[in-house]
Amino acid sequence: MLEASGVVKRFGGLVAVDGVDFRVERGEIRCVIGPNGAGKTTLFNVLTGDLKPTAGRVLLEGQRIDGLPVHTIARLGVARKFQVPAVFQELTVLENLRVAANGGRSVLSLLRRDRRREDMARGIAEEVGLQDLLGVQAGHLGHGEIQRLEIAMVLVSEPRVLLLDEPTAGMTYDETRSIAVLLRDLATRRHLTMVIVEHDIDFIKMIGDRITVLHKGKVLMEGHHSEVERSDEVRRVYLGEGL
Amino acid sequence: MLTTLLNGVSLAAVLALVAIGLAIIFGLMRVINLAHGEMFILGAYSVVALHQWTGSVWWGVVLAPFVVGGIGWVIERTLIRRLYQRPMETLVATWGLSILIREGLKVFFGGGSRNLPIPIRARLHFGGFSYPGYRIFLIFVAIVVMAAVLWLFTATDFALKVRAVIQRRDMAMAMGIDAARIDQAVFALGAALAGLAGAVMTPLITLNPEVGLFFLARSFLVVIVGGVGSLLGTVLGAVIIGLGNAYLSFLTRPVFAEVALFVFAILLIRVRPSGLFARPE
Amino acid sequence: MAGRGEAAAVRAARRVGVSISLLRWAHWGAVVLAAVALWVVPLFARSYFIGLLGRFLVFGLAAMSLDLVWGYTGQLSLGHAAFFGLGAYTSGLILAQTSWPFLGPLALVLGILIPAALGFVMAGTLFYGKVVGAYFAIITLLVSLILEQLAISMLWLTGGINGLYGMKPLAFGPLSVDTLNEAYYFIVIVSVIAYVLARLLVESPLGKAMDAVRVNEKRTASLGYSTAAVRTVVFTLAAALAGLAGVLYVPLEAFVYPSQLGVGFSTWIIVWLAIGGRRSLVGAFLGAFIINYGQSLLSERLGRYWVLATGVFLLIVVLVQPDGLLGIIRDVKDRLMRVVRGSRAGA
Repeated sequence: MLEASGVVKRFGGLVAVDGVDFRVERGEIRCVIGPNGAGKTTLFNVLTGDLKPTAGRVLLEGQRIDGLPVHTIARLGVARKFQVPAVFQELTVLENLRVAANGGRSVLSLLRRDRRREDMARGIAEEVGLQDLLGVQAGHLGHGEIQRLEIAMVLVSEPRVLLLDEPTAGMTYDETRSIAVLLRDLATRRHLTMVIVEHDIDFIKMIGDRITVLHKGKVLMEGHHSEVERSDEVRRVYLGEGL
Repeated sequence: MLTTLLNGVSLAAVLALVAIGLAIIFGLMRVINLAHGEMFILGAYSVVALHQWTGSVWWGVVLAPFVVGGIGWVIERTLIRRLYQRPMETLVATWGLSILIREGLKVFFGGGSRNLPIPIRARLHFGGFSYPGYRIFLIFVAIVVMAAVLWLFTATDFALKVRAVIQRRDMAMAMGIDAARIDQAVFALGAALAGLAGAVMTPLITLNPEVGLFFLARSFLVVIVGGVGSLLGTVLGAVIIGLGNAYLSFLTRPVFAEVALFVFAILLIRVRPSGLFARPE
Repeated sequence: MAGRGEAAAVRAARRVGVSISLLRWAHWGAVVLAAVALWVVPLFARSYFIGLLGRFLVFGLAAMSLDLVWGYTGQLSLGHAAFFGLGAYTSGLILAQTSWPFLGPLALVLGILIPAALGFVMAGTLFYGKVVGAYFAIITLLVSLILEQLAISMLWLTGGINGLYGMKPLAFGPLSVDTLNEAYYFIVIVSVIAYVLARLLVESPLGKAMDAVRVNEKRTASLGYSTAAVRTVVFTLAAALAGLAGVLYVPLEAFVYPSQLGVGFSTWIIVWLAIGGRRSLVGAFLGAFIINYGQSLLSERLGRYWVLATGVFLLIVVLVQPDGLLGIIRDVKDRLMRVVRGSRAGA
């Protein structure tokens, strides 16, 4: 489904991503882990089009997407949930969802309301459990609710691939578990492919099929989480951070 | 033809001084100062005022950079310092400031135009061709000052401190560098350069408070063409705009020359957003 | 865990739900009232006042066009009068021709299209090249500056610094905009229509996209919006609207000057909008009314200082009150609501 081939990203003298080959099959939930500075976020940015790779290619179902503008890649079905909550604070939950639902329409068509998309927005709200909070300003939501709104916003565009950047940051154990359940559920029901950057090992165990470990811009190892847990190399790389 | 060329060079020299002031403030501090043109004009009117008091233009030329630098320092401390990291607000506020200065000058000095006598009447002669000595002096001053600025921002202790403050402000402060003072110094220096440019340019132009806007516009074109963050690029941009202006004004009306240069700058920014000579960000 | 927060939020939601439809009805009711009030003014007001009011509406329209770009989409335009003046000059030049047929409709249509074309070219060239924010704002300033200089120097076309005059009145078949009252009625009709259209735009999904671009451009792009396209469309519409305001100004002023294109007038438009209140459409008219009314009262006494006041206004808006008069009104209202709710809770 989504493939990065030989991707390199250089910032002046710094090489953030140093030749990564990365392949996710359709319907797979892949977690990407690695210590800080391993290049996870940079790799994400290359996948979404926020950054152009210095070298290498990114393919979506065989089609090259590296170098395309962000909004084009988004329209092709790659959705991203940011690490820092990026909802529109002054708009209500429903308005946020509607904005998300209208993405991908041509600008002039945006002059007309699209009932179908608005209904989709409402539907999504129910799926993530926000149906009672539709009229609330996003800025007034609690942390867990904002994360759910974000997830709803990325889902409403019916993406093929979902890229999640630390979706459980700052959550309690229970919140993390409900998110993991929610995501697994959505992945199955909507045939989504997911790539998740995470640090929380419990979450990874609950949700991940395979794990890719990044270190210093390269892929250190790839495998099922039990394999990764047992690997001495990974333990060394994470020394002090505990795995 | 040679006259036109040298006119272009002298314009380029003045533009370089003004534009370097702008580039320093924007390139180093990320502050866009729409009142920069008024720093130029304040330099010019300092010369006017000192000329009224002392009868000589030279007092103004020497003192204007200090006067305008001082004004720049005050502006940084009262206004600019509240607006860091807020580019749009900085634009609106400095635009408001530029209006205040422009209109204030009109109230104080009257809105009419005036001309000052050129202090060097001698002309330089070589091979049957003569060129105003004052313009030669101007070019000379500009070169010396630019060299000094280049030296200041590359080879001195000050340069290191500035770079430290720009790259890691918190670390620089932790190491004992007074970041606020550096900000003030850089801004005041940028203003002083524009003031100097205005001061030396005064005898050559018909002066009225609106002239500041023109120099603001031209120095923005220079910075757009030459690139931000590279002093050498700014100088080269000034050469292009200055020579281009002189040559095109020779061919057609000055207004159309400005339009042509403007369109050129727009197309350039589209094709090479970081200017001709700067390293891309 | 989030139980208490959720309950409070649900209560707030219900309150907001009710208020929204109430506000909407109140708003459209107020628009109708205002239109009616404006319409009947000529019945009992002196012509000086009618001319003044016409001017306020035209200026309000220009400021409202800037609101679309600045207040909603977050892009400052320092040279917006360029479009106003272009509309005025275009229609003025057309109306000065004695032999063309369909002068009226042609002046109106071209007076809108030509500024829109300039806006489109500027926006398309720059926004698609990722030239946004401060750089774009400065370029709009340069455009306004250049156009003013061109208007002054192209005497053969524009009459130079003395401007255009002696235009035929705008005529659409049997209807003609000749007298002051006719000009005024024409302005009222067009203003109301323009406001309604602008309001519909801002409530539409495009309006929400404009907000989204302003608040978080990266996020909006990642949702699939071409932010360059949004910015370009809005800028073009705003240029068209400002041009329309320029066309409306011609019958009022009977002269078209270079200053109507220039940097000073652009600054006034910014001041009217900023002082009235951005991102509201109404604030534009409020600011235009209040400041121009103040000017008509004070400019005799203040003279030169009035232009200086624009600088002061801009500094006030940045340093003291970014939300303008509407912001002050909103703060007062919020404080009153809190007092009312407080006393009710205590009782």
